[in-house]
Amino acid sequence: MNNPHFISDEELHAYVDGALEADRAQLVRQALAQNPALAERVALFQADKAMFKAAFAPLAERPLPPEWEARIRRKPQASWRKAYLIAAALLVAAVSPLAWRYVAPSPTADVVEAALEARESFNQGGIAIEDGRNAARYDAALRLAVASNVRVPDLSRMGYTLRGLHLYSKAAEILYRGPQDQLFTLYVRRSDGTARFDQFERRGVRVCIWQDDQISTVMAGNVTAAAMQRLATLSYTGLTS
Amino acid sequence: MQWAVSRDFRHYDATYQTGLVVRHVVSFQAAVTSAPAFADALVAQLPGLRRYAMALVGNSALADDLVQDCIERALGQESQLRDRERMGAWLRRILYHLYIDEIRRGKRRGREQDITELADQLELSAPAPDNSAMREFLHAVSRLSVEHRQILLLVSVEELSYREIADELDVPLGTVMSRLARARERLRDLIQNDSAEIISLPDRKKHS
Repeated sequence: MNNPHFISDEELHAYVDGALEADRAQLVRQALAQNPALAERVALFQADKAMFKAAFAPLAERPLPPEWEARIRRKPQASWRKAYLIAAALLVAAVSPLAWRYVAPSPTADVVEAALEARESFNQGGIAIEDGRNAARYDAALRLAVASNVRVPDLSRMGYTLRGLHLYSKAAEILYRGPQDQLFTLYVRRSDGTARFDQFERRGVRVCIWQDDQISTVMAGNVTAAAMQRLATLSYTGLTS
Repeated sequence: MQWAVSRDFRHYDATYQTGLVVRHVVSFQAAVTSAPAFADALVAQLPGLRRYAMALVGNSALADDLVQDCIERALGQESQLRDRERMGAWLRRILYHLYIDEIRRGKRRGREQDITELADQLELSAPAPDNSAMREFLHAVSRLSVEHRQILLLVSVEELSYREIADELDVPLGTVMSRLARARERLRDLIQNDSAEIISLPDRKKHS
């Protein structure tokens, strides 16, 4: 097998196709010159190859059914329409949340309901925060949204990590993930001037409302009453510090 | 200062979202503006594709069905064509798989042996005295496996290099060489030993 003068079948056919390296092709030519039977075999392979081409190559010259090209040419128009419809839908989808955030009037509904609505529509926009490095900027965004001198609370002492900030017209929702990846939300907006503090369950989550004459905060999460008490204290003090 | 920071942030947010939209719109625009070019390229490939189909399946009606299915598939999968320079290979691959599916479904089992129909139509280039030799040759070709017929077509009619064939079939270069060697040996064997044998042809009423 290691004999350099051995010519394999694969090499013989590569020679027929002109795909053999120069030195090996030279070896094949020498073998053909010395072996008439081998030369005849190769000649037959070359003839078969030529026959293949003679038989099938002219088939490309046959007239094509005209409906094929018509079918292909129809495609772009549909594609244009479809593409622009999708683009328009994308535009509307992207602009709508912006418009809603910055143009919609201040929510007048009950703050707890507004907070739970915001929590349930989580992932429909907002600004993702991967780490706390931009905390100062998020503080500024929060102050702008709520129109009050507040800051994003740090709940890391209880194992909660800041994960997102959701801006609305004159309100904001701050999102955290707890040690078991549970979602804890803090909804903040300007107060109607009345004081209020309560803790209860609504829509399957524990809710705490803490409101003074300046800001209204609603905290929601699947936590115990005791944990909510500690989280609420940490949130409220962090928010107003 | 606080307002400046806040406005920057708002501007950042709006810019970010608008940027996303612009990016989507631009990519869609690129897709739609390339649509006529894709159509042109596809139309230009049709004669070669049809030749490949006819030579592969040996029956013009079935070949036309396959080309038509291939066109539909190509139009639907335009985004999967990464390199337009290689559209020919892409189309042949689609068509080959459609044909294999066809065989597997068994709808037209046996029709692939009807390659001599082409000899009957003889718009082939062989001069009249060579017709009988051509007919014997086509009989032998019709008895090859689809795999062997395919590789012989790619190298002899499409005139692809071994590397191009390996890429098209997604097999190593060595496999191309050994498959080609076996295909040629088999064809030669059929021509020399079986050319006189009469093979039964399937019913062609459906496509005649």
